[in-house]
Amino acid sequence: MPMQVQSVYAWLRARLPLDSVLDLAEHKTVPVHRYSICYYLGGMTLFFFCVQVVTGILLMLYYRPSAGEAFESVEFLMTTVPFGWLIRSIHSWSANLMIFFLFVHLATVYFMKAYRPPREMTWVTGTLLLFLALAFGFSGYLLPWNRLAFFATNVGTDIAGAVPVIGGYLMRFLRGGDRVTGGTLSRFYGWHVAILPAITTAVLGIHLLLVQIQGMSVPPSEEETAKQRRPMKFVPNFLLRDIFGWTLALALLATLAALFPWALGEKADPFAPAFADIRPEWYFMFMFETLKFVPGGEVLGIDYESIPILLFGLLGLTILLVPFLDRNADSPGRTSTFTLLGVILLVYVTGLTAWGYRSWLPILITLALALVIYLHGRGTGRAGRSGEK
Amino acid sequence: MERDVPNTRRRNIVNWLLGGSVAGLVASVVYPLARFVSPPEVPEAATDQYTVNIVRKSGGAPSSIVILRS
Repeated sequence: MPMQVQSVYAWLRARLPLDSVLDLAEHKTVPVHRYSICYYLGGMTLFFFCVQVVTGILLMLYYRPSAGEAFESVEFLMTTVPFGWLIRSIHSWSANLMIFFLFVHLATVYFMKAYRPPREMTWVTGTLLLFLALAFGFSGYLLPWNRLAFFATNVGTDIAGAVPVIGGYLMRFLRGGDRVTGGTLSRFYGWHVAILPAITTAVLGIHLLLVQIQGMSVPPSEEETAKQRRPMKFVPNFLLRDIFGWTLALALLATLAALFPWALGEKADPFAPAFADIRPEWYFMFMFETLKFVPGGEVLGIDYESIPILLFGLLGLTILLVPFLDRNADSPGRTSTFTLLGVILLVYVTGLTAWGYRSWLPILITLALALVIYLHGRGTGRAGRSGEK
Repeated sequence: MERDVPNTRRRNIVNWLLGGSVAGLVASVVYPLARFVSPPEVPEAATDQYTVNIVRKSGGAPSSIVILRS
């Protein structure tokens, strides 16, 4: 190590607990078993979150949060600012990929039953992060102030208004008034760049701290295999693989942004007739499609539309509280009720998303992911057996 | 000791390749960012002033008015 680096290190060491951090890094290990590939998903989500933070701050340099200027400022950014189109496209693609990896991460953690004691709070904070990411997506969608976003926000906030008892208040709270206006835009901007990031930083900090304290969870069915095999050192083995994955993710982002730059559309016009093809972001599509199946009418003074909305709320709460509801999570080799419920939910969400887009792509992506995890598991299992011989 | 020589040479090549790749990656990230944060030479259109051209039906010379937002 050069002298200058050594002296800087010594200066820092005298002021910060560097030794304990290095000690932690040296002794931290990752279990190796059939589903070890799933351990990279959290880091991948975190990478996209970091891209979101950096590109989001950059976009704030040019964005103007008012109904009269928002669209024009994004247009200026896309057409005149050097690499403005690239930064905006990377921000949009990265947001979608972050939510995609969050869903995949949550699903793998769920099916690996990593929410078992003592990791209940890790699961709860992770689920809260998913809800926060969805709120980020919903608030960010309106910011370019284009026609599609304007009408989709009208529909989205209308749905919130259908919640029994508190619906009216909730809708006014979201819109900042009775209608979607420039006030709504300012409000969504505030949520998007200040309130949600503050909450997310706190929850993410707790989540990462818990992961560090408790280490990686091994699924009940793989505990024996993990005990037989030597765990992987976090530094440098796992970290280098993580960095390799992030480099691929960055390349994917650059490719998507360059080949499919995020469109801006037309400026929102509150007096224009409703947009013919209103659709939310893909991660709300299954809820949107469900509501389309609901006929008009009411029962016991409750709109039919309110019933699925309440059920979605209940579903969110159930997912949040899964560690406290699944009592048989520790039993290996048995397909528990919760695993079955998870499969049904996965099929439902994927199926309705595919139906909403009239495309097989969501189903193909889900099957491809399952295949990658399966093939990696087979490869890892074979390598483990040959290593033991 | 003689067997170490080709290994060192190969290691040097790998080091140069890896170092070059990392430098290329860093440059491809830093350059767009540096260009992005520099203000563009074409200023953003002022939205507090509109020029409206009026074309006369009678065929007279067109005139224009400027609306200013106070």
